[in-house]
Amino acid sequence: MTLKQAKEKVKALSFVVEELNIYSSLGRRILLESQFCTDKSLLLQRYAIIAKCEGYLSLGANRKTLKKVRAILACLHDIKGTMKQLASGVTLDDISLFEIKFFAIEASRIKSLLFDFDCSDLVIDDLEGVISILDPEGLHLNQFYIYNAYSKELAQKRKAWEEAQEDKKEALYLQCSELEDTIRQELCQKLFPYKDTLEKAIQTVGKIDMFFAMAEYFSANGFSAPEFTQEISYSQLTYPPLVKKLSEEGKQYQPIDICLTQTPTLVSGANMAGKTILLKSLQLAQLLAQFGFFVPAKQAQLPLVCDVLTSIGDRQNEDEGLSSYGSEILILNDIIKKVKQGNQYLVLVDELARTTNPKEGVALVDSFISILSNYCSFSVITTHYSGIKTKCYRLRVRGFIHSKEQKSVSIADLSSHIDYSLIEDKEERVPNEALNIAELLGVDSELISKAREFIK
Amino acid sequence: MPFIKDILRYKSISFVGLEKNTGKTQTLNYVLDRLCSFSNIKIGLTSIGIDGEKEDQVTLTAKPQITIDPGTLFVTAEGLYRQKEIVANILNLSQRQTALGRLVFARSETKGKVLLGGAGNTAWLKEVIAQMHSLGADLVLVDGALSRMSFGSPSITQAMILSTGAALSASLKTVVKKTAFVYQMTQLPQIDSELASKLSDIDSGIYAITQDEEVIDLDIPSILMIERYKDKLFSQGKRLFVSGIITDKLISFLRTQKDCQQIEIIIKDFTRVFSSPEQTNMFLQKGGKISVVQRTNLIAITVNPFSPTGYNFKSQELISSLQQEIPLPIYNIKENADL
Repeated sequence: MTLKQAKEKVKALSFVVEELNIYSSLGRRILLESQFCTDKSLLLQRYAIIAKCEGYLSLGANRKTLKKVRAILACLHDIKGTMKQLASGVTLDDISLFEIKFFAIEASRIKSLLFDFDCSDLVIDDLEGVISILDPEGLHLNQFYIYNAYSKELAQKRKAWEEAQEDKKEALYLQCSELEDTIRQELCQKLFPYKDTLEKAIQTVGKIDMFFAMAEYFSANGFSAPEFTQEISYSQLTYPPLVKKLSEEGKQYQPIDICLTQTPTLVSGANMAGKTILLKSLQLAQLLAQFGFFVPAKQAQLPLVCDVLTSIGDRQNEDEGLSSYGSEILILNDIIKKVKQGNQYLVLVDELARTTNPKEGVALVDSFISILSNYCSFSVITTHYSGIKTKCYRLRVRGFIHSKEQKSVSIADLSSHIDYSLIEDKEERVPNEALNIAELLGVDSELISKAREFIK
Repeated sequence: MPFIKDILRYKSISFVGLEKNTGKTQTLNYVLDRLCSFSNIKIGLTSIGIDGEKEDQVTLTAKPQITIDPGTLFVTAEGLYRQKEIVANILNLSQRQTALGRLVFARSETKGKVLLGGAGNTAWLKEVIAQMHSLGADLVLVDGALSRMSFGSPSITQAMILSTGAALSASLKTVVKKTAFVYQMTQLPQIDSELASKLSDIDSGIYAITQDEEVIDLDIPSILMIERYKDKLFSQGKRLFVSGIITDKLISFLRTQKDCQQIEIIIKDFTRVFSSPEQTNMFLQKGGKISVVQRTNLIAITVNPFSPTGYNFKSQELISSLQQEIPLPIYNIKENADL
């Protein structure tokens, strides 16, 4: 799975990707080609590069250098297509040769700007060999054509063509073109041995763009490098899309601390208390970590999993004519199948079996949890159901801060009345706050009072 | 050497044809040929969309390629660049694509022929012109699109040369009327510079201009629904700024108002007039006013008395009929080739 594919499915991932200030199309390509990675050493290597970039940027003078590098990056083209042609042995035209020369000169400029940046993974190979092939006059300018300097014969033919009478011109122009073609062939033959060097330089330039963008964004937004362990543990985990939205409204996001083991975790809590966001935060952080990003938490420890399996509200099958229950149960089936194969997954299920009657719903939750507890995956399930009997780790969102004076609140500032932190819960009962919340929101009083009578 | 001296006063000029085969490209070639004697001026050359093709795609008549001198900067699409008959040094490539590939910025090393095709929209064209100036061009010539007047906007190029001719209509009278109307619109009065600076960045909506030159948004989403907002339209006076285009519907609505002679419509420039000559003139004759934020410098008009479908006018008759309506230099480039 590439980042490009994953970000289509997970909006928050796409959000973080778009927040990065990537300046070149090749930086963006390299970023989006990042693979979901289960190799610890590869990930640690990426984290080390990001950390080096962060260190480099901590100096003001270096930030100025980065500005210059970025001005170059913004003008760079992704010459992937041209490189493919070169590698396949095709003779390139002037435009493609110009692209290679332009890239080589600009990449060398980046190399010299970053001369004191000590990070071996981001050192661009020397491209002087490439430049000299395409710069017979030694001017080091960002220009290219089949120079007269390549061939005396061509220079003479061109002169003859220019001075010829109109009726002889076409024939002479054709002769010039043929000579030019021969020179292009020779140039491509000379460039061919440099194809790997160039390909690597393209990758490195893209990585420079990508890693500096990451480092800058991660420092500014309090992301940190995760450690890999056999437990999930976040201190001050946040959810960047919501952090940004709230800060635009002048509000603050309340970060969450959470620790999870392979014992399935059941999260309860009032409506609107952030259970879904908790699941989405866990999903996002796990994906980010395994795509080689830092994670939005002060401290993070997590295991490497094969995939993050979710059932969080976005049931596409409903469009295919399945009922909401039908589509949910098929997703759950898919999860069970995968988990039973024995690989380690992160399973996140929002309000398991909420789409059916409570009696059977509770039974399904019980059964789902008991199956998962036999396998090595990590799982978090949220629920509104009381009476789940199966042994599991239970967490509850603290929820509403009740205050007597507050009669009614608007949806907009509801969040300031909620404590989103998690506490361990020993009971099987879930909080009954649906009616209290409805009352706070100023819902029709008859609806609420009648409901209360029915409860009695 | 007609009108060449006028050309040298500007940094950018667009060549606009009122119809295909009115001789726009010939005019451009003529100007390029004459400019080459001013060796100290660096010429830049580009075009709008696909133009300069060897054969006219619609009528299949031969179209001249554009001949340029050594040292000319030109910008054309990749696909057309490859068809050049010239030695040229590539200086830059655009990141964006046209239908015929990216734009190639190049400088000619020899004299020869190029095919031009350029940016496909006005915003991009503006950027291309600016880039050409920064690459050293003193004067940028833009081979404009046919009958797409918007590319002749003074917000893009400082001046314009217009080509007209028999291809526009089989009737001499119609050719004169249509050409004279374009000329007339380029001569609309310009508002004062203080107000102009307030209006030049407004891109949507209709506004009232009060006596103190305060700009008030009338909150009318589109002139296409003008009847619905009749009451709002004159709520702040009779001086209006229409940021988009003006159409027959708007003009005839305004003309039928009782205080028509007090109404002034301000538009960005002459390219925003989409109303017909008849409706526009009726409005103006009734005393209504149309002014522009930015005036166009129409340098000259060139004519081609031949139409691709066979009929033609007498060159002198066409020129003198136009000259009666238009006090500008008017030339038949083909006849004047030796001037």
